[in-house]
Amino acid sequence: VKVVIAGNPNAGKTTLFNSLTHSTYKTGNWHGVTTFSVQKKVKDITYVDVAGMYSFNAYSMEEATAAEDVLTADVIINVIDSLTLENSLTLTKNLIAGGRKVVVYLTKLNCLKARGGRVDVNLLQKYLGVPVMVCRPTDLKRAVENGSINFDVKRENVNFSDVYFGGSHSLKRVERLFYNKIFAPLFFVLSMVFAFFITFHPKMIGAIAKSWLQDLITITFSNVISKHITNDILRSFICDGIIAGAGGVLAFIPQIAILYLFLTLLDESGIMSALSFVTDGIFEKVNLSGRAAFSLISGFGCTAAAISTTRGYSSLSAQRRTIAILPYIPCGAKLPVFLTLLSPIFKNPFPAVCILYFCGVAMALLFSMLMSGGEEQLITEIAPIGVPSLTAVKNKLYFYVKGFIIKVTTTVTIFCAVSWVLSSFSWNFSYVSVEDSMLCSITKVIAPLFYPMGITDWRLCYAAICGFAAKENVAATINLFFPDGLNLSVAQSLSLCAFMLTCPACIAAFASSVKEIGRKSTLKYNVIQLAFSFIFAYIVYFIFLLL
Amino acid sequence: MNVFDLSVGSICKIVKVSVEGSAKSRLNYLGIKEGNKAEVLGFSLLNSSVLLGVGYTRIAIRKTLAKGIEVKLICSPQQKRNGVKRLIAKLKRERNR
Repeated sequence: VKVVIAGNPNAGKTTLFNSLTHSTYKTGNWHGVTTFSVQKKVKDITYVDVAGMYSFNAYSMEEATAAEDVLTADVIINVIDSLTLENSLTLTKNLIAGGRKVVVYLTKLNCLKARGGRVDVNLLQKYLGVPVMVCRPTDLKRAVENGSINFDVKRENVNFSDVYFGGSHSLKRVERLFYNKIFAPLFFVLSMVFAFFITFHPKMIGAIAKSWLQDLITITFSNVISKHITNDILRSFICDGIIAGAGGVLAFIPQIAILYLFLTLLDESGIMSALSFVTDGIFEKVNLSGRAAFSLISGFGCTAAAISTTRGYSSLSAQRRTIAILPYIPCGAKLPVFLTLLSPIFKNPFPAVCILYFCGVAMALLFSMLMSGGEEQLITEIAPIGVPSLTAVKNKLYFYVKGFIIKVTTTVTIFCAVSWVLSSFSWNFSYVSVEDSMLCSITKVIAPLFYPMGITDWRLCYAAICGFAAKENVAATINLFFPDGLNLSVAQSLSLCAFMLTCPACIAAFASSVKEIGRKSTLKYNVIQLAFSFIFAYIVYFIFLLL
Repeated sequence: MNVFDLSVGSICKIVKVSVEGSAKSRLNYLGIKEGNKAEVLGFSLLNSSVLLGVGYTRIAIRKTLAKGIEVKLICSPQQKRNGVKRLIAKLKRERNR
């Protein structure tokens, strides 16, 4: 049995899908979080979560895909946001007219009650002629699995005003503030600076927790392990290769969690949605629309995920432009890289990291302005502003942090293991010093490319190259090769930071981009970006050398 | 008159939607159709788009499209304020009685 969860954007479809299937797909309080259909089989039932849609007349690519899935469903769970029930019924009527079994599931009833509204579920059933459910997701799941939903509901002539009252129309004072074109951007900038401050300032919780965790992993844990291993090569592999490399990156969890927490709060409270409208004027000047704000802010988390948010764009050229500029937005994985490079030269890396983040955003907007093409029109629903749900914030934060830990303990650990093997053995597999290793001879071939940015140590070149697989690898490789810390000049550190800021994103983002705009365009953008990142880093190096 | 001729807080009635293609049907599904009432909730930076409240839905629309939405002013923010003032005065009078 194929059960499709359909409804208007931002109705709560993915939240319901996650509850029904025990999944952790990304949710958000804005239009267009889900951009492609996902399905999961539970017992004999295949649940399908589709992108939000208003009708079968597709306006964007995501709507077209959703419509295709809806047309092949056995049962449709039509998720309706009770705050905007009146508008949502257009799609519901279309779904019912399609002749499939439809069950309506109402969400956000608490918000409706808080607004002074009400909905009579029995009358709504009679008005639509389909079952309407207001229950916990587990009860809905049980009803679907047992087949206990009564689809034989007779349609009756009911006055809609008896069925639904939406409550107060008026905006809350806080909403008026966030729709103000001066206050909203100012609030965003100040809140991001505050987030960076408590994340990066050495006397703030982020840096303190990171330092504590780093000591725990790389000193205490490493000492315990080294005492129990007698074989020198194995000890070096585990302590110098895995723990110093991947373990060092794991220590960034507190800082990454704080930054993600801020992004999640902005998202769940609806402020990000308001921001996408208010900042539309800036995006218009750079040939984009306010919708790009969602993608760019998502880019602070993960570039690959941010790329997939562009599927909802109605203009293909605007989608291409957004994908091309997204790698300039520093993702969460670049954070350990910047801190690893900047911490040895700045006692307090907070201002430098702030500048790097703002440079990334400015560069993204500048490149978008330089790229020509069709304009993306802004027609989007804006989510109401409210207190974020604690469960949603907790789940999302857990999802982000879990993703980071999984990546470090799998991809980065494997990369560290391979790097250690390549840097510890010669071509005839004898245990040698780093300078005589296979890795040294391989990397020295491309190392000259990094000379003009002041990076003459091939180990740093290798670390920078590792970033193309996953950005976390850069910090892990630096930790692996420089256990006592880096000893770089300001010009060298900043030029390497400039390279890391502007270089193409990781392989996951590359794959996501290929999926959206094809291999040819992705390759073209990546080659241009790579060339630019080298030139930009050379310029930064020479400027700081002259200062 | 289009929504860009109105100020924040104005309530208007949509008279005509002169937008072509799929954008028109999208606007229609969101409630931007002839006869519906809308409130201007705000304008974006550099006045590139407008935020309209139609029923309980808030819709952000780019200027190029919004200019195609012909409206008739029902109540300006000043009239709204005066109405509220009158209501408060009336309530006070009733309480004094």
